Amino acid sequence: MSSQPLDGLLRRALIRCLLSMLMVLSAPPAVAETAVEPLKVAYLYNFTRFIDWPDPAPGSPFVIAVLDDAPLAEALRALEREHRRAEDRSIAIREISATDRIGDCQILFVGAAAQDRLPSLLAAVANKPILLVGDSPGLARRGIAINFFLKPDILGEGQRLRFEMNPAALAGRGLKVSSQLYDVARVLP
Amino acid sequence: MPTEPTACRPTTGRAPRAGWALLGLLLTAPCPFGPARADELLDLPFDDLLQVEVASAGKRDEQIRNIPASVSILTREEIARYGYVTLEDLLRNVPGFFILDNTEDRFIGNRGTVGGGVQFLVNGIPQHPSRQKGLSVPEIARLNIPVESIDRIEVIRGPMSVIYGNNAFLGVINIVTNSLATSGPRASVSAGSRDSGQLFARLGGRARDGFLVLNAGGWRTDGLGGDYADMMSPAQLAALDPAMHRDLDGDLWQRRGSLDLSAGWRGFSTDVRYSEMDYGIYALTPPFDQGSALRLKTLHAALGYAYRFSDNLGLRLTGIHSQETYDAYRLDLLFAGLEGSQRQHARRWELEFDLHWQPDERLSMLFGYRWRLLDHLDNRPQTPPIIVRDIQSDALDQQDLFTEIGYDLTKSLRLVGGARLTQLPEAYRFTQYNALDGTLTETALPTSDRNLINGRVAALWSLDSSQVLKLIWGNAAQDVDSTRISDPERIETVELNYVRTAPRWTLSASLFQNRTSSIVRTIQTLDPATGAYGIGYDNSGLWLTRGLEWTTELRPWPGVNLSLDATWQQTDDRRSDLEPGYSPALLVKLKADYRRGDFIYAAYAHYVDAMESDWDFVTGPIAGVIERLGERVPATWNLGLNLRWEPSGQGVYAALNVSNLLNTEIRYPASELTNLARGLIGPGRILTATLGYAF
Repeated sequence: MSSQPLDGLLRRALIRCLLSMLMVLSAPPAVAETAVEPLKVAYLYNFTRFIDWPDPAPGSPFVIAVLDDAPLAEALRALEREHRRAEDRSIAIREISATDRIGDCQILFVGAAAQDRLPSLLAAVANKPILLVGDSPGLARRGIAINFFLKPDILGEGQRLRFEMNPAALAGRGLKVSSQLYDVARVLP
Repeated sequence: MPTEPTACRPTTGRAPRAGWALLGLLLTAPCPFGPARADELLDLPFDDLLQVEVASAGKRDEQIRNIPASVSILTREEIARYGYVTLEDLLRNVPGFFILDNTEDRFIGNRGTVGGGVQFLVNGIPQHPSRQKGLSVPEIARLNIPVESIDRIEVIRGPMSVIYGNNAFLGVINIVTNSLATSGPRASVSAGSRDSGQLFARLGGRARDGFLVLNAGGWRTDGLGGDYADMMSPAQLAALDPAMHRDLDGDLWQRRGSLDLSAGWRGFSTDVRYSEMDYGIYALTPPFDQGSALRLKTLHAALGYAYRFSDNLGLRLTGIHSQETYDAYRLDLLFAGLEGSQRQHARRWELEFDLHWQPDERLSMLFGYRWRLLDHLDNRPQTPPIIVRDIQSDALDQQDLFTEIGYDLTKSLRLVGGARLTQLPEAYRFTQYNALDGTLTETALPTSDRNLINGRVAALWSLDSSQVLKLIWGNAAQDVDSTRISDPERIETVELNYVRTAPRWTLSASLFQNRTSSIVRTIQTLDPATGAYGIGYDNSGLWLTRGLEWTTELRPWPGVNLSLDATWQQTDDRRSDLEPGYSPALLVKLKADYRRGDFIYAAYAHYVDAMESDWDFVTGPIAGVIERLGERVPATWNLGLNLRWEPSGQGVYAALNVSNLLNTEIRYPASELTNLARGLIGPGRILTATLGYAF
């Protein structure tokens, strides 16, 4: 074989190698690290795939209500903007600041500032098909079904969002929860 | 997936042109850095979502509170605000640190002790050992890291041998240069006084499963200057050969280059770092001709693999190879026409396993094993007719087992304890060939205790969510490079550290006591028969240091940052009752910056107290005579200013930095190599202008 074809092969190999490197470097934006609000939104959106709610009224949206957490409510509006759907229904985000305005919703996120009103909140939504979600230490033991927390990586490389689940807080609400969700959660006894 | 760029199809074009095109694309392509958007996360499979790392603005304060030690963290933003030109400049302004210059090396000091006691890590990878038997390789190469490449510096004070092994004696400095979340591709150019200049470029990017960062930088300077008449004693001046240089001007030039690559893909990671320094040094006497010159080359290559069995069990494997070459290729000293060189070389092979286990929420455990081999340990001083030797050390094999366990005794009290067992070589063996007399000498220096144990215990009491009190005890060992002493130096520290973090201020205060023992001492003994001094060594040195460190950061108004750091320490030499050399009693650091619009105005100052040089202890007929290497050098203030222009969202930035604005005379005390009795005069006012672009 003459050296010219060999040079050509080597050149093509080099360019392919560089192209591969470029593709790696210009790949879609990384998701290795993110702010916590968009991640909570993605988790909440995923919860709708692992939980079944009772049949809704025809044409009604899937409502996610947020109590006392404006940054999360703002992040959740991405679901509305992108016309995402849950249980084959359009998603509506409702930001509220008082327990008497809970109304009908499928998911209620309880912000840290609302912790003091937790007893009245729990009473207001007792036995309703509402998934209660929070992100404050100890909330799951106080009656919230799913509670987010940040867990440091075991190898010390940052921290990741995790959640604990309280089966007792889910009971009696008519929600069917996939076992896959329990598999990745810290389940309270 | 991205479509293949048409311009880069492999069927046409010449490879070099395509390469430049690719480089251009990399530099100009929109940069995928910063937090991911919600819409990208929504389409991730749930299993992948669980692996996404959360960026935390409060991470710095959390680390300062939670690490069982006194900790300082400098972020890229802080580093940019103050415009430090070199890593030495940066470390001089770290609370509790000071740096001395002997032209060949930079000695990093803190808590009353200087030189060799800080373990450097780059991206968590331990750098080449600073102390090795039979070698005298300076550790200045650890400082050859372009400041522009630094995303974060974590400084941990106190003995850390349990986690990092021998030589993490006074602390650990981890320099992070691969955080794409902090800064992406950029390039900068600087020029300044003393004919100094710097070039820097970073390339890099992230994909879903990996990242790659490449930092390249070069720096040059004409270095220190000044007349020997201002640095030597009258006796030294009188003894100078008339043909010797009369000033330092142009003799202490420096050229530095470095390249570091850090990449990760899934659980794999690699870090490769090459550093080369070529610089002029002062060696014992002024030069006659071109001056003495030294080239230091260091290569580090590390390969790691991290595997998480679950959220609570993970394993990290790290293999490291490093090698360092010291080539004093031109020695110009003592008398005209002397031709000589000295070449030293060392290699390291290392393998480490770290198993992290968290069996429950309150208990965390680390079990580790490290194997280290040092080989190709050569030292060849070739300066006829004074010395022509070939000294070789046998390979040194060392194994370490270590553990650290943390337990939350209550919600507010965490206990951390650890221990490390290091098995030292049975003996250090040297072969020395003396070419001047043709003799071959073999020496075996047995290790008195092969099993070295270091420990560390800490109690962290969280008074509330913003306050923590840390009580720490720990000890550490430091290898000595002397071929006459086998035992490492030891340090034992007790420390009480209080940290309070608030939105507008942070306070950290430490009371500490160090007991440093087995310190190698040089003893000169007069032989009455010959009238000549013989040099002997022992390791009976014992120092006791007590001190207080105080660090305050204030953020009183938006855009304004202030900090005040002070370290007071008193070191007593329990064997001689003399003030130890290179041990300033007081260090003060002040910083203030203000951001208005596109400009950041910053001022910084550091104060280093007066200090003595080292001394020789003389015994024999005139027992107790002490001779210092030089005079006591006075305290100095060094004030710096930095003006940075950084228009929002445009990428371009510029900075004007002035260090030693008042042109204060800074003197470094005499050392064995730089035996200038009145001290080496440090850098005067230096002006540096920088222009950069962040892509």
